[in-house]
Amino acid sequence: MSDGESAQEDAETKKAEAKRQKQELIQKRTKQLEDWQRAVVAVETEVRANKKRAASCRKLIDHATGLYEEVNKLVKKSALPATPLIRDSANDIISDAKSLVKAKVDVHLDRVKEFVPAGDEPSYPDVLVVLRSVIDSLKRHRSALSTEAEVLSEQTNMAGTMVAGLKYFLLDPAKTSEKETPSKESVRSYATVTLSDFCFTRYSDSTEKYFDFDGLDSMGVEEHLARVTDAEDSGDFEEDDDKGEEEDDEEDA
Amino acid sequence: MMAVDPKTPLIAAVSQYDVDFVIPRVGLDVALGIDPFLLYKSRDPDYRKMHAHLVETFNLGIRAVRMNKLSEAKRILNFPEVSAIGMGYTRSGKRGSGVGTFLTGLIIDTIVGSPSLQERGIRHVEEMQLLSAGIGPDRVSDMTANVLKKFLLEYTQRQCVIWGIPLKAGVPIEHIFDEQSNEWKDSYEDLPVSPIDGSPILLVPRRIVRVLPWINYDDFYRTEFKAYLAAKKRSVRYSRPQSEPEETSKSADHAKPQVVTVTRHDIGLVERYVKSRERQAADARPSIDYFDADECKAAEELKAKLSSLPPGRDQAAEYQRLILEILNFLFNPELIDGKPEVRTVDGTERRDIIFTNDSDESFWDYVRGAHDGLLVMFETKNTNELRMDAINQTATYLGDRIGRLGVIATRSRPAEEIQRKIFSVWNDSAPNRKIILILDDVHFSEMLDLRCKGGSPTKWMQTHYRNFRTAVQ
Repeated sequence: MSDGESAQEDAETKKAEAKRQKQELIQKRTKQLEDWQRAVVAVETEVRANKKRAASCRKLIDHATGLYEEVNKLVKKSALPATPLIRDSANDIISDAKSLVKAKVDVHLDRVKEFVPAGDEPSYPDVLVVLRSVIDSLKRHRSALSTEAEVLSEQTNMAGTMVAGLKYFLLDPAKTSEKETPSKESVRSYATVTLSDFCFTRYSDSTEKYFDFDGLDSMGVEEHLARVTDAEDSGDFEEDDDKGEEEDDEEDA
Repeated sequence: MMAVDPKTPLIAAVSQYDVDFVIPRVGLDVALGIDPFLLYKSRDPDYRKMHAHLVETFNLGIRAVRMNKLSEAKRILNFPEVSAIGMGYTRSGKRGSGVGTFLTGLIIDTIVGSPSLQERGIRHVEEMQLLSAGIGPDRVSDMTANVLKKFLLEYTQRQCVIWGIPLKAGVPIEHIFDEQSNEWKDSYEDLPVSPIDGSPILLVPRRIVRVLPWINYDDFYRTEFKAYLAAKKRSVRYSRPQSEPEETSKSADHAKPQVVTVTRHDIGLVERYVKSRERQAADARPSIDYFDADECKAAEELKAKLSSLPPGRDQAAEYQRLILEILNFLFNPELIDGKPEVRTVDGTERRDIIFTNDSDESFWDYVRGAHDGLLVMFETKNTNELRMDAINQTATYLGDRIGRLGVIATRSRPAEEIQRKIFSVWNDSAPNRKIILILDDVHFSEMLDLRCKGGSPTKWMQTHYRNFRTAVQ
């Protein structure tokens, strides 16, 4: 074989290899897109559930506070035991609170038990103390739901940004070299969420941020989403430089 | 010869705290009487039947008077003293003031002198206290004891078997009312007898005795009659009928002859008073402060017996009897007539005690309503290791007949898996839930100590019940 033929063969081999690698990359990115699209749906479901629980919690706090105030008036006026209606109302609140706040999440609420009259109704002061305890527990739970909502919001942005980055890679007619390090602007054109800073990185020779495919490839969906929770726990949420549209707060899911 | 203390119990084998009946004394009547109202208000249908029978017997006599069959009336309304029950209001000795022939005549005169009474009849025999100057609480008790003698006989025999009190065969007992023939008959029965003079002893349940009947003359005078006089004064300002007593110048006793003159003519007074007492029936409780023995000493003795009794099948019968004593000490007269039963299941003995829940206490009243608990079963298991089959058997027995609350008395706290099984009995039996409570040696000791300090074992049980219900939530 001549040198020319050998070089041509090498070139064709390299070309075929490059084509193969490109195909593999496209398949990989396609699978990643599917995974992240599923993640978007899953996180949206959790967001709806969180909103529903938050609404229920708000309503229950409101209802329990109302009963507390009425019982507080009765405590001052009467030494009689509570009526069956008040006892049942208090028990309903306790039961609803325990449905909202799962066992072992709040040890103080775990210790609260429904009233069992067994012939003698509870006293108004006892009802008052228990209601106070339940209301405080529900307020802690409301705060926890609020924190959870923030995390879910950031996870929504992360998942949406990942989808946008992958769509840009797979669908955009731009050159391959551009697609391998897409700019924020490029990704934004495919995004329906506020871009998440978790998905971008800055190279040493640039002040710009680029979509981080290496980061994307380094771990699975769950691990990426967990980074948001870890950041929340350590108080490291960064504000995005480019603020997108804010989502409206909905009262009910 | 040493003089015997008249207050010495006539039955020495048992403690007053531990039994269902009033223990008579050697030389002194216990200052109590049978109060028929406690039969009337009882949740036990047999007790209510006895009250109905008592009233019907008396009304038979009244009807005889109305039909001018005076000799028949005298025959029926003949209530001699029932010294065998050992109760009365004499300050010394045991010979009471039985109704006898003289007072039978007094009753008949009262009925003859009150057409409205003949028309109405009586609803409670205690009303005779308000209509006759010579009839007081002890006569009421005697009348009741006479008519219910057959029940007292059977009750006495049953209690003697439970407590191992010796019975003498063929003891003559007079004046037992036969419902079939409406006649008084004499009989020979197996009964305990006094070691002092050989006289028969009839035992009376603690549940139906009071110092004063719920319907009594003193209360009537203080309430209904005084209100009547006050109303009369307001309507007749300047004249006072000669026959009516002055309001405050005489005591109730001194005024009684005149009071009964009024009531015989205005039976409505009696009617209104009786109805008001019936409305307050929940407050009519048996007396419990006639016990001579030291309560704390009795509690300590029971605790000592419990701690020294070893667990095991060989001591099962002894354990059952001890639990019966303890339960009577703690809960009588709220839970009454504890009957030990022995069943054989798969070759093993199951020993339980069935009590009748006749209580007005809020917790037992709740048990009656919420768990159909007119009867309460206590199963006794003399073991430190309660097994699953004990729970299953108890759960099987709970139901319509025995109620849905049962208690297992055992020696120590059961294992976790047994606790879980008990919870599952509760959870799986909705909507008519069955509840099994455990009482072990520690629990019994706590309740005995509590009773010694004047606390309420019923309140303790209420807390115990609540703890179960919250644990199973």
